[in-house]
Amino acid sequence: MASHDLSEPLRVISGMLQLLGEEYADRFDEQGRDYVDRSVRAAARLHRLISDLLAYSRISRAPLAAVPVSLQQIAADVIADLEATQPDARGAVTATGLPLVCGDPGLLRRVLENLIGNGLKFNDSASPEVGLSARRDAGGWTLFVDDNGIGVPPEHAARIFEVFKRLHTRDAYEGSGIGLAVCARVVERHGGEIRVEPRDGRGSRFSFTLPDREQPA
Amino acid sequence: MNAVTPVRILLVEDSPDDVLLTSKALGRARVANHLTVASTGEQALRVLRDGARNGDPATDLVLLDLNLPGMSGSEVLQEIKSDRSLRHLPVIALTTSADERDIARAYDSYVNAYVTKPVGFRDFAESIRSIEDFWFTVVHLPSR
Repeated sequence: MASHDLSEPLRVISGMLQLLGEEYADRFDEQGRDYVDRSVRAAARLHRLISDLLAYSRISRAPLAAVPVSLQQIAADVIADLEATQPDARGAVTATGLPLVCGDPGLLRRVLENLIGNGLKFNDSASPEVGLSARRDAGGWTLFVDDNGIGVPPEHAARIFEVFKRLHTRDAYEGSGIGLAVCARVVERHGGEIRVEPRDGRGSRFSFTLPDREQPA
Repeated sequence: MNAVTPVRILLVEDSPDDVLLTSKALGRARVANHLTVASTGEQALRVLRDGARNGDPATDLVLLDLNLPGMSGSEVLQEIKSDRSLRHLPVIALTTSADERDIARAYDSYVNAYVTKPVGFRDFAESIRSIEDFWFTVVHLPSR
């Protein structure tokens, strides 16, 4: 089933609700308008959940490329895009010494985008910071993404990588809860593992391993 | 083009809900328009070819849903673009699919534009308005 088959009825529901809210606005009292607004917002959330779930399923199924990937370059691209869309984030993200690995550039970019984005989003510091670094181990690399954000309670550390797992109310932080599940799936498909631990002081350290892989001839 | 003459739009769409939403959106557009609806590809081609035989396909722009029962939207597109009397018509694929393969296939078949229907009505109405603005106030089309 294609994503548009799932979204089609939802688009009609959402469209009709908005028409109802606009064309009959003078016949609703405040409570009636509130019901319509809530329904419109819920339809938008459902649409996002469906899109995200389908993206997750594509990530699980799509053939995995195995080409040389400069994580330093990908991080630079992600940071440049971020600074272009969020001027407030300028200078907040740094990346040093990231390696050249063998893997899927599009999927590894998703991992860095999600981890960097989360580091800034779940962050109430006066000056949010996210730092990327790497360590060479026997048999592969370990990547680190450190932030000075709100942190992840240790009891939730494993569950945050589950699909649609959210730790916060929608009012506090927007999102469908798919980002870290995507990260975990991509890392797993590269033969690695992802984890999170608290940093000394404040914030979180996300780390994932990328075992050395043979590049196909 | 004479601004007081309503532009003639052929909507090829099988879902009555989408016909309603699209006509509502067209009702909010800045350009006066006259909407004809064909619920199948076969019907759309009949409307266009009957008109073309009389020297005028009675249509200035085709809004084409790609997900049609029977003859698919892609097939309708290919028929239009391979028909000398119809191929000048701008055809806008208006669809829910953002699948890259669908997009590539549509442009391979000479679609003039591929537009994904946004989820909310306001955004959808805005897309329709942009389509109308572009095709009827920005570009020059062959005269009727």
